[in-house]
Amino acid sequence: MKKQLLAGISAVALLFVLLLSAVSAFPVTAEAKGKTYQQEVGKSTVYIHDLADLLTDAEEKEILNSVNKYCEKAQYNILFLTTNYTSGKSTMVYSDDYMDKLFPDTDENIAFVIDMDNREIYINTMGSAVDILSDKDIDKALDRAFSKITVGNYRATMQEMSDYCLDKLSQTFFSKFLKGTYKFSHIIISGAITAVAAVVLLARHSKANKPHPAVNYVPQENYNVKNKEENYVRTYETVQRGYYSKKSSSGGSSSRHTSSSGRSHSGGGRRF
Amino acid sequence: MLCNCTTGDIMQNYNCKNCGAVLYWDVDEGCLKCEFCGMKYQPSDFEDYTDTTEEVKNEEVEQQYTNTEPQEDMAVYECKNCGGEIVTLKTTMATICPYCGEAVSITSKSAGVFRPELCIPFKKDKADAMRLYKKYVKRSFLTPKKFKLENTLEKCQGLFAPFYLHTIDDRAKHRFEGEKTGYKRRGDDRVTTHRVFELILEADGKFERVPTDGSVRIDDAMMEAIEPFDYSECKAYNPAYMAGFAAEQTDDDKKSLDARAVARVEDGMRTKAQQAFSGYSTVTLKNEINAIDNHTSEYVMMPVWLLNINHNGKKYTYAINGQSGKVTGKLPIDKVKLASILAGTFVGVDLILSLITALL
Repeated sequence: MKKQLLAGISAVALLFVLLLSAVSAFPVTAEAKGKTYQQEVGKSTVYIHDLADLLTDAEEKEILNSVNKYCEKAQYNILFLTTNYTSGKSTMVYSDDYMDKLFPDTDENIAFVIDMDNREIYINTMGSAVDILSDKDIDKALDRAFSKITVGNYRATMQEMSDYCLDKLSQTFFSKFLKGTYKFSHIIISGAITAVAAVVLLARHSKANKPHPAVNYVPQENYNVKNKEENYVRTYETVQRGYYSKKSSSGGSSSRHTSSSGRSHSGGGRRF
Repeated sequence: MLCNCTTGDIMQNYNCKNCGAVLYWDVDEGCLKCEFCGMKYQPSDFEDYTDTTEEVKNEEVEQQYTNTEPQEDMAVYECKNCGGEIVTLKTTMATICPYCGEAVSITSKSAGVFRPELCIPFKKDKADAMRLYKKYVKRSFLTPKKFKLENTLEKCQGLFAPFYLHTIDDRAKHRFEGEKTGYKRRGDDRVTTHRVFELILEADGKFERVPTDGSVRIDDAMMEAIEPFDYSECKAYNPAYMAGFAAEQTDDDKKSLDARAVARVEDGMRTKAQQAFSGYSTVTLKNEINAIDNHTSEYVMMPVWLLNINHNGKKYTYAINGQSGKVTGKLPIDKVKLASILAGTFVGVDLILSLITALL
C-alpha cells in the first residue's frame, strides 16, 4: 500500500514536471500575449495585432468602423500593431520585419505602430503608399497622434494616424482637387473648360484663307543665289536665376529604405 | 448687235444660229450652249467685234486709264430682247438683263486699250459655287443663320474680274541678323547662350505672272486669298466667254497696280532669302536692296464668284475662285449664339463636377 501510494505520487510528480517542462519550452514574452485577427473591409484587409494588449474589444471595433469609409476606395493591407517587446530592434526595423513576414506576397501595405518598448509611434508604408504619403504627410499624421499618445489614449492615437493617411491614400488627384484643395475648384475647372471651348470655336471661325504668298510665283529654276554669307558676330548670355531649384522643390520627399529582407519601405516615427 | 445711241457703245448678244435662243457659257461643256435645242458653239464661231470696233471716245478712255478715282458714272442700255433698261456701271463689259435674263456683252468696253489679252473660262458653275460656299460656312457654329439661307446664296454672281499678270526680274541683296541659342545649367540657374550672326544673301529671281486685281471695287487681299489660278487654261480673249456672266473693265490706276506687283515680288524675294538660312532660332531683317527689271504685264480676265451679304449694317463679301473653287471671306460672329454656347458649357461642366464630387 505504501509502495502504491509512493508510485502514484511519483507518477503525478513526474507528470507535473513533464507538463511544466512543456510549457517552459515556449518562452513567455509580451508578443505571445494580446489579440491578433484580420477582417476584410471594403477593398482592403484590416489586421489588428494588439500584442501589447493596449486596446479593448470595443476600441478595436471603433477602429474598424473608422477605416471603413476609406476601404471602399483604397485597396491596401492595413495593420494596426501594438507591441511592448521588439527584441532589441528599433521600431522601424521591427515594423519592417513584421510586415515582411505578415505580407510576404503583397506590397500595398501600411502599418500604424505603437511600440511601448521603444516608446515610439510609427507609420510604415510599402508599395504605392510610399509615393503618395510624403515625409510631410507622415509628420502631419504623427503630429495629430502625438497629443493622444501622450495622454495614453491608444485608440485615438491609432485613429488619428490612420484617418489622415488613409484619407490621402483613398483619394485620386482629381477628387483631391475637387474636394479640398481649392475653395473655387469647380469654378476654376468649369471656367478653364469654357475658355478652351471659346478658343476652339473662335479659332475654327476665324480661320479665313491667307493671301497666297508671292514666293510661289518664282519657280526654283528661276531663282539663283549669287552670294551667301554667315559671319559670326558675338555671343552673350542671359540667366534665369533659381530655375532648377523651383522644379526640385515641388512635391514632398519620402524616407525610403530597404528592410532586412530586401523590400522597400518608407515612413516615420515620433518618440513619446 | 445693238448700238446704244446714248453712249455710242456697241452691245453684242450671242444667239443660237439654229433656233435663235440666247446662248450662255456652259461651264461643264466649256462652250456656248443653247438651252433649247442643245446646239454648241465655240467663241470662234462668232465674230469678235472688239477686234474691229473703233476706240470709242479716246479722250474718255485715256482719262479712265490714268484716273485714280473709282468710276462712279452709270450708263443706261436698252436690252435687245425685251427692251428693258439695263442700268450698269460705265466699266461694265458684260452683264445680264435683270428683266429677261439675256446675256449682254458691251463689246466696245473691251476694245482698244481695254481689250484683254487672255481670259480663263469658268470651271465652277453657280451650283458648284453655292455648294463650296455652304461648305465654307458650315465649319463654324457661330455664323448667323442668314448666311446659310438658300435665298441668300442665290444672289451669288459670276464675274470676270480684270487682272494684270506681271512678269518681273528682281536682283536683291538682303542682310539679316540670325541668332542661335543653347542652354546650360550653372548651379540652380539656367544660362541661355545667344550666338549672333550676320547673314547676307544676294540672289536673282524671275517672278512669272504675279496677279494684281485691276478693279477698285474688289478687295485686293480677297483676290490674293483665292489664288492661285492655273494659267495653263488661259484662252485668247473672246467676249463669247463672258456670255451669262458679268464682267468689268479695269478701272484701277496702272501705276499703283505695277507698284503692288513690285511689292509682292520684293516680299517673295525676302521670304526666299530667309528660307535660305536654317538652324537659327530667330532671323531678323536688317537691310534689303531690290533692283527691278524687265517688268511686263498682261491684261487678263479671271473667273470669280462673288456674294455680298448685308448683316447688321455691315457688308460681307465672299469670293470663290471660279476655276479652283477656293473660297474666302470673313464670317461674322453671332454673339448671342456664342454667349449661349459658352454659358451652357460652363453650367453643364459645373453640374457634372458637382455630381462627381457628390459621388466621391
